[in-house]
Amino acid sequence: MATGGTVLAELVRERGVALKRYAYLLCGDEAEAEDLLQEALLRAFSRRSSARAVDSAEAYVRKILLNAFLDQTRRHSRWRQLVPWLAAEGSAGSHADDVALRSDMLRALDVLTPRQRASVVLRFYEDLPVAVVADRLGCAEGTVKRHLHDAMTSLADVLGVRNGGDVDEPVR
Amino acid sequence: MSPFDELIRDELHDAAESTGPIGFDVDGLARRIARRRLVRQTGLAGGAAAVVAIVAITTSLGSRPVSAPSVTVATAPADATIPAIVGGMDIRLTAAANEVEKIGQVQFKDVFTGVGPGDGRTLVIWRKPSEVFDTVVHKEMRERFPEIAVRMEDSVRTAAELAVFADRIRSDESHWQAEGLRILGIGQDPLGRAVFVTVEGDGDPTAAFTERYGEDFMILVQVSSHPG
Repeated sequence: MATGGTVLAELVRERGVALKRYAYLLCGDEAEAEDLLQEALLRAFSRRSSARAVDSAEAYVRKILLNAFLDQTRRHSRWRQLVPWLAAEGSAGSHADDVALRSDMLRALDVLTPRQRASVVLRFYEDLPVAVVADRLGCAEGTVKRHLHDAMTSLADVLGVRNGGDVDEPVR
Repeated sequence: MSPFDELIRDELHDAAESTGPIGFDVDGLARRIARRRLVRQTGLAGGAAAVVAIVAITTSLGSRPVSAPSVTVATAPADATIPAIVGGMDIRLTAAANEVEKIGQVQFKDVFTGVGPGDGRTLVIWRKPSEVFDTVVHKEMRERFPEIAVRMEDSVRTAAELAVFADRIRSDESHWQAEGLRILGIGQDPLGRAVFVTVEGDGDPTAAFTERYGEDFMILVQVSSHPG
């Protein structure tokens, strides 16, 4: 039977990049994504009483990662609120360069609330049905649909693209 | 899926693929996990410092999502010292900021203005000049967060003074509603220079705010256009 250490090593080796990408879409910053992932791994493997298979460990880490993202965005809301104000002051040339390098999609995601953003990532990146997204976020399906509707309206506005339809279930 | 849904899905995948490989030390992480498990098993409490939740300085007054800021009017003085904001979430830095904030708000309301992240692992603290405050904070930081540097900056207003002014604007919500402006949030500048007001509406409301509140306090108005 695998030990916790070998499952951790295997999980990072085989699924680490996928987990990091998931974290990256949630938070929008590569260094932050690594912090989030490390925190999720730390919490997941510190709590577990016995080693698991990589698949189940990954699902557990994803769940913790999402919760850590939502928790941290609440905790960091003050600093995040200040970023657009302080960044506009002109002393942050490198910051402006960084922003320019980010994709339009990432910048568009920044206008969403954390829960809207998580809904979009779970629904369209993870391809999860609305019911599963609701379960992951711990809210009603109707709430997720509202998050998605508002998020898609905002994204269409920011990206300058016409949003022609309501939220559909994913094509499986 | 609608064409727009598919576009979003494709864009998300493209954005995700722009990330690099895992950059952290997995062996080091495994050691931290082993230490944490040992602490749990033995019931020792001497692990990482508890992270106290930061109280959001901006109070949301509405439940509707805020769309992208489209206009920013009125800015801080050109010579103001603005700290660089780091993108990463540093838990230790946040914990240190929480501790400083607690000290400032509980023991030094008459001088404390705010705290924010500086370059790298630096906290920038704004306060009216006070040797006592500085001594207390430096001692606390040396003992609990020795890896984090501290830079003290002078401020003009304390957080408490700004809060009184923010409350005054908050109590005028119905007035601004009648003017066609919906106040979405009111916040305070940690530098002690200004109160931030985020409104939803059309046009530039700066003059109206200045007329009503005068110029003793700087008001930075951020306008968010009507969503949809």
